[in-house]
Amino acid sequence: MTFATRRNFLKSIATVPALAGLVGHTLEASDAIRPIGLHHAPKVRRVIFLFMHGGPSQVDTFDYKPKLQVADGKPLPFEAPPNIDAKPVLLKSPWKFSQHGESGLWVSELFPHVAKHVDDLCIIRSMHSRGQSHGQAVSMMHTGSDNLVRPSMGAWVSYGLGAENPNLPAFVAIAPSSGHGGPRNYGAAFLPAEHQASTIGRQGKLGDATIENLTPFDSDTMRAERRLAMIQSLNRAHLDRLGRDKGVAGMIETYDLAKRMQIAAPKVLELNEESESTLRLYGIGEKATDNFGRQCLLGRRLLESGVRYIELSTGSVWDQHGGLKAGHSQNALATDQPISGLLTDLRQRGMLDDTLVVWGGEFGRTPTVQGSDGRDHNPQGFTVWLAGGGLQTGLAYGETDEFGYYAQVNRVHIHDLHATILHLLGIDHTKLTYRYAGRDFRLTDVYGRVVNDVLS
Amino acid sequence: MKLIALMQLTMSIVVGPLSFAQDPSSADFFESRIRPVLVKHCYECHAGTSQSIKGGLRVDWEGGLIQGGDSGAALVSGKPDDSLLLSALRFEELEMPPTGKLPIEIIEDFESWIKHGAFDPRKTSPQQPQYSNDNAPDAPLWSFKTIENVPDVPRTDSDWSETTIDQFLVAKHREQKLLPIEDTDPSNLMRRMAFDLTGLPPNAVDIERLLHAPRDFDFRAYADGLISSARFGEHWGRRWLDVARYADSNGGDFNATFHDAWRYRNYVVGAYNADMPFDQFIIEQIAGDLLPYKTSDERHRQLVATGFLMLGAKMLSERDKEKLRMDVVDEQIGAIGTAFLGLTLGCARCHDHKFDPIPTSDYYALAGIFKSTNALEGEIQKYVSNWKRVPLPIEPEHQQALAAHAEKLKVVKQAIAGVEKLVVAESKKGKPSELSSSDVIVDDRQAELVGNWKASGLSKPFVGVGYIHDENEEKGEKSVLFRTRLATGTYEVAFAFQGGATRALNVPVAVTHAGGIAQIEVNQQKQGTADEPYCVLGRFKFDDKQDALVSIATAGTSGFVVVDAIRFTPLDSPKSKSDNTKAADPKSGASDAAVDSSVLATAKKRLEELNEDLKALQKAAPIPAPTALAAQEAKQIGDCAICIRGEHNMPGNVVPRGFLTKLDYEHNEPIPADQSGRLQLARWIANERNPLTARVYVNRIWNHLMGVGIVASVDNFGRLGQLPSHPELLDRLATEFTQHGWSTKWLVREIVFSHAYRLSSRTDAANESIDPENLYLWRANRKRLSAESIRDTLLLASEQLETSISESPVSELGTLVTQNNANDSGYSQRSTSQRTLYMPIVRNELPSVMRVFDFADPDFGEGDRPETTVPEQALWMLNSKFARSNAEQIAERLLRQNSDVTQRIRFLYIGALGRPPTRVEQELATNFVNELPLNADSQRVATHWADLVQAVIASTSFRVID
Repeated sequence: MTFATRRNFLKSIATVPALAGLVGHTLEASDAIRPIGLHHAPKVRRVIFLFMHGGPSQVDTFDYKPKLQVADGKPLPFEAPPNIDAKPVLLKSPWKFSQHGESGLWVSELFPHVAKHVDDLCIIRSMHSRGQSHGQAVSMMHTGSDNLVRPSMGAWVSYGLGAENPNLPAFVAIAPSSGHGGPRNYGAAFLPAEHQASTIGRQGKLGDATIENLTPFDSDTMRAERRLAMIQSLNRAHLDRLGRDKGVAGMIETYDLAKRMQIAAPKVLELNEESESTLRLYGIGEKATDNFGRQCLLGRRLLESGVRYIELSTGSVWDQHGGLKAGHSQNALATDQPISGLLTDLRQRGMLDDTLVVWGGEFGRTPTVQGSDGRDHNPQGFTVWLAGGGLQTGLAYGETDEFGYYAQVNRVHIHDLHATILHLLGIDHTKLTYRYAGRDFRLTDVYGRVVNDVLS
Repeated sequence: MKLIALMQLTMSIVVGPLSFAQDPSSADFFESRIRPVLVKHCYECHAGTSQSIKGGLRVDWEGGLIQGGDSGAALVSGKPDDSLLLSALRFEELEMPPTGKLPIEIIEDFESWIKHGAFDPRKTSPQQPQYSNDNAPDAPLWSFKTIENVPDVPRTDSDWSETTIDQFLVAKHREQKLLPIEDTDPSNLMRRMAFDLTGLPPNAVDIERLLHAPRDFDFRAYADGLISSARFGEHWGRRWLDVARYADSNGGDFNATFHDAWRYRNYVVGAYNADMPFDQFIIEQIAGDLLPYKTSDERHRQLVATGFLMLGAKMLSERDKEKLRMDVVDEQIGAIGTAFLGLTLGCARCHDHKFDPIPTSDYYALAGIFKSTNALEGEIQKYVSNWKRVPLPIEPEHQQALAAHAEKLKVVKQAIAGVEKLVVAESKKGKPSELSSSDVIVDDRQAELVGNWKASGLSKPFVGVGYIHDENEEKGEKSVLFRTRLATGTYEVAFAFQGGATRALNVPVAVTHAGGIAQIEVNQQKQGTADEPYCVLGRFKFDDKQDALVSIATAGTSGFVVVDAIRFTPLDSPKSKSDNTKAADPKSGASDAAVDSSVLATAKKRLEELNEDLKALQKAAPIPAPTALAAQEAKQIGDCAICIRGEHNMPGNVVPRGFLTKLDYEHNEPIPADQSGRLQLARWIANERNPLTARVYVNRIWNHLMGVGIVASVDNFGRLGQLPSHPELLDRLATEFTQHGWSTKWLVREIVFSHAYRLSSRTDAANESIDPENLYLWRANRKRLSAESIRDTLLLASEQLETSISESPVSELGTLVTQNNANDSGYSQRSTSQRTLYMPIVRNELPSVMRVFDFADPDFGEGDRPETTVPEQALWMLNSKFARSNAEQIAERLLRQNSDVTQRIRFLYIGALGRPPTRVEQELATNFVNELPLNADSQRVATHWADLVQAVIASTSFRVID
């Protein structure tokens, strides 16, 4: 597709049916039909990214390294990357690993609930990235760039596919961190601003679980109706004076849309409609799991209501330079049951087949020791797992070296992961481009390849 | 990398015996095993027939492989491991083909082929790459050509035309058979002018004057008044701040506070108010620090101006500092290209610009200039870069006051240190492990700190004036180093800290002694005794040839790490022995202790007094010496090597510092070897013969006033930008602009006084059928009210707007706006009633009014804000606290000041929209008011009127400038 036609195509689909999203879409065309995939038939319609901010350790979770267990305290037999504070001395995992499911994949005792779902997971153990510090790696994970301000993946997906539900945003970030780039990681950069995420809560906490200025419409319906009618009468009088004006006509539409959103969104955000057993499934009501359980359940409700791309954040809690045992135990406890609940719930509702769940941090951690009970950052090799439609599940793909330091076999770069996620959504990552400042930009820059080996 | 070498080794072992079927040096082998693979997998991007040749590499003939591309030779005959082609196939540093790694057998074939001489029959290049004429980087580009012949003003006998600008427009109107529309009505013109020139609505007095006698109203005088008001610089300065990507914090990975950025902001406002010649404005921003000056005010202004170069967002925690440096250089080049030249220079970092005549060598000629400029210096914490706060000139009296104060501080501090030493020594007496008065104590105040340590004195006792702790945060990024030089001998080393249940269990401590380094783990949950903060680390030998070091780390700890002091007690000196003997005598020890305690009490009292003095002195400190966020020359000046494909670790040829070479404009002021070249670059840009500078700037001003630039892509005058709608007009204006001393105010007047500026924005069917986009300005373009104007107008209408000029809006923030951890409570906006431009522009934390109403993204310099129409804007108008509370205050004022409904509605419109209501608006508003029941209580009345006010400010008439 040439640039011009592709762009027109995008413009027309991005404004589907009357306009999408809280942060919505520029109101230009409304006569387009909803496409099935942008470039090819999609396997999934929506994505939920469970961001384990801080960097969970692969060798303590999903990348079992028997040799590391016996080499505890031994020197690292090869060179460590530069700018690392960990000593070149191996540290075994304090957690036991065992095999699970029919597939027999290894999972550590940190994730007993998620372990029950291994046959639904596609575990990529050969991830690698760029950025030895959080800022770079978090940015890389979200935007495909470690140094420049670029649109985040959710924004690209919103730009490419728009929202499924015109009364809800296409991209929602739940409890995002304000550190390590903060909003930049769920922002639109040079894409039109409507593609940035709407946020709910912050710093890993759900808070009052509302979206700014999106208050329920019906608190005093009569007054609200009367005021809205007045605004629209004034607006129409203005338009009458002008003749024709796309901008003003668009503003008039946004007031109607705002009302519909005020009716729809607060309902979606209301978790109390869920049954007692569902709340229990997510660990809601239990001290350790309540917060992340609510995030996961809210995520499911948003997915179900037609939000295209959701990111959930734990907050930057996985960064155990020290206190690995206590820290990772606490973080795993807080997230294990909620994530398991989400997978179960999605499956029960038949949504797992056309949803993509992505679990991972910005990098992993060194198999070597920092202090006496810590691990340093490791973008050289780490684990991300996927679940949902279009994947080979019960699969562990790729390998790190014998101690879990460097990704070695079937290496998957973050760019490759991005390309694969877009592919599952029906998007060719080389064709989803946006022209800015004299250049066509894309999520994967000039890199990235679809990891066909993990696709079904 | 060792690992890669290891992997290669493994691979070559696995390769195993060659296939016997073919000789790898034969033509057969090439034709059957090599050529098909190249054709199938590589030609799409690496052949003469490719649409664009990636990485400059062609593999469709032998020479192409040997010459290689951007990354160097692709093939070294006989040396597979030196051949980039093979490395790429193996997916080592490069990964080729991008669609996925080829089967191992094919890679083995290539290895054998190269090993056996890489026979290649393709001796000539089959086809040179073809550029279409449009895309040829060397084809002339209109904006790169100097204005040689200033276009004549077209002669028209039009009555409509009033100015030079009008003449050019009329010529186009006639050519296109367009008839300009009627003028807008006077009150709309007044509103348009007021917002365009000051960002605020016209005031009630002027409106009434106009309504009273519209025919006598002098719009020229009115505009002149607005242009000379201080509000002009605030409004137009903010437009420049958009281009300058102005912010009060770094954003990026570490959102460090730019405490001094406001000085640049106020400099820009001042420059616009003073109508500083734009060429001077350019030179000061790029090279103000290198200019001569007569007064310290001038010096102050010129230093502050270079803040332009410093405002970019940086990834401060990038651990590869050379990469960070080149990223900062890139950001600066990009900002200058966009702001002054309307070019996207950043593209040339990795390859020759694909569309514009900007070779990579030009980029690195500029890079040398900025690499020779100091942007970063030192570290905020480990791995996180910092920048130098450049001292600004101060009055001699101020200087003296500061020096005198510093001297006083020093005296008190010295006195405190002396008494502290005494206190420490006295309080140790009579304790078995502390007998020696020759103990060496290094307090935390003398230690070298890495990262942010918090001073405290909550837990007692402590050595000296207090202790420090790591706040249980940023583990691994903080550490403390105690350093002292001891007389040769054996010492007992003890670590003082204030233990407790919240402390870390496993604090790593390293003692560097004569025999090496000892690692000790200290449990800080345990404490010696209630009045004894020391914990013995062990006995070590030290010699006087090297420093004794004790370092305390936080990596790997959980719980607070607390550090107070380190004590070295000599064990083998004669003095210490005698002390020991003395201590063994209970009588003498007891009497000593009695004497000491009174000495101790006196000393402690004295210490308290001194600390009081210190506090008082600190309170009475003179205003600290001001610093600026400003650029300086680097310590090392030099040229920069081309970074192949933008990778700083792949250096190519060194390029002498210089300017863009493809502009049709010669101005080769040489760059002295000992200067960065910023001053020469600044003069190269701020030159009337530079074909881009004046055109780009004139177009920016035109864009703000007329709604669309003569070149619609205001930041891109390259091949991918728009062509000018009125090229002759642009050249004429650019020329006259420089002839009028680069005066912005002259230019603004030229445009505002044109007839074209006064046109109605109404549509017209006949004209629209010819020129639907209004390219030829037969009517006025409607503009959106900016985020600043929305907020400022609401504050003005509710009588809250303060017009004072603000200083730092972020003075209360720390080194970082927010910490990078999950416990940070986040940034909260300081509330202010000043104009929006004085609000803190904290990157990543813009207030919602800015985010929603298309404020310029401070991460990018941009001359034209996007215009979006999204429901968030409606939601802000309907539900934001700010909109509602202002509506309530405006309503309250209306109710208080007037009893007549018609008058109230009129005042509402005049206050909020800057014009009286139309007949229809008056009617609609009256009907709305009439819905109030007659018996409504005052609360109900207030709410209802607030609803009306909110409806009016939410209406499109408020949000649009017709």
